[in-house]
Amino acid sequence: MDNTMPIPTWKFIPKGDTEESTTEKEEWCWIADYTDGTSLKQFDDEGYFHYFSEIDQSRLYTFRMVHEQLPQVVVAFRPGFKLIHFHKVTVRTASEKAPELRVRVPCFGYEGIGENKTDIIKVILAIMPDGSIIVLDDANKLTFNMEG
Amino acid sequence: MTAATTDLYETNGATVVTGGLSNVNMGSNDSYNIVTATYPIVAGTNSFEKWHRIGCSAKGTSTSLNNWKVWLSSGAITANVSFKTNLREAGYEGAQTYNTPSATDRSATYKYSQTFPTSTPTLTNLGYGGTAGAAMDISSGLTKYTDYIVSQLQTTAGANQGLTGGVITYQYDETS
Repeated sequence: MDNTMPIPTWKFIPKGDTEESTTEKEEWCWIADYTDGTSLKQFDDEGYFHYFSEIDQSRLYTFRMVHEQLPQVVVAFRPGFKLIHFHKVTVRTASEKAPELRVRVPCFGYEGIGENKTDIIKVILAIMPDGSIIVLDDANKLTFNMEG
Repeated sequence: MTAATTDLYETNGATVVTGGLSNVNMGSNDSYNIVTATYPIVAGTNSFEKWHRIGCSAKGTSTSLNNWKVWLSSGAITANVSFKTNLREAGYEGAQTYNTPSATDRSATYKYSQTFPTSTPTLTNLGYGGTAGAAMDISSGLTKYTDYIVSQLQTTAGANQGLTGGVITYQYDETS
């Protein structure tokens, strides 16, 4: 008898496709909390995956990144700004000394024009593989030691 | 979210494309996974060019990839050796059209006059569709590839070892 638990999956229709597919949950998932008290979860309680583009930023209050074992990371959204979320993926290719190494870092935050109507304000939080959080004004400033 | 599936692909010969590479060694032969002891580069000559691309073969829950960066994360470039490439953060010269790899210096034709970067570039240094850093829509039509990364190891008579332990690392931003 197989006693292993099935890995839970969430349904979605991939962009560009017409047929439903399934996906496993991400280690770090987002939750968009709206000003009316409702929320949109990337992996919702009804078993569906949601794209980032489904977030209604016009009524966004907070954007949270949640993890099953670690404290959540919360960004208070600034109305009128643009919400940002992506993964910075770094791949060290295989060599004679080491196998391929792949690192995916969730990055999220917001950007927009400041109150002086001139300055561009950009805040990016990067959640590193060890759970530490780096706050940046430009995700291009993230550097990785991929020696191996 | 299921991550998009990407890999570094090498093109050899007429147009044989290979992924799942076990190394990116340069040598005196147009082939992938080169054993350098079998195909050493004679001092004063060049390696065969490498024509690599980053390819996306499955999208998962992602919709686009952009902000391409490529660099040499390990490996020492020794004296009398130059490691040339078309990767560049400023003045990117567009997509290069594949031609069977050669040991001749064709850097003027295929724009690989730059030194291969040895640390994480600050800005994108590779293009998609001829434009540096451009977004690759991965919602359909996979496998899709970036522009070619053309590179060549060039040596002078005093060289006694080329590039030891060279490892290429690539990076991109993935959006869902």
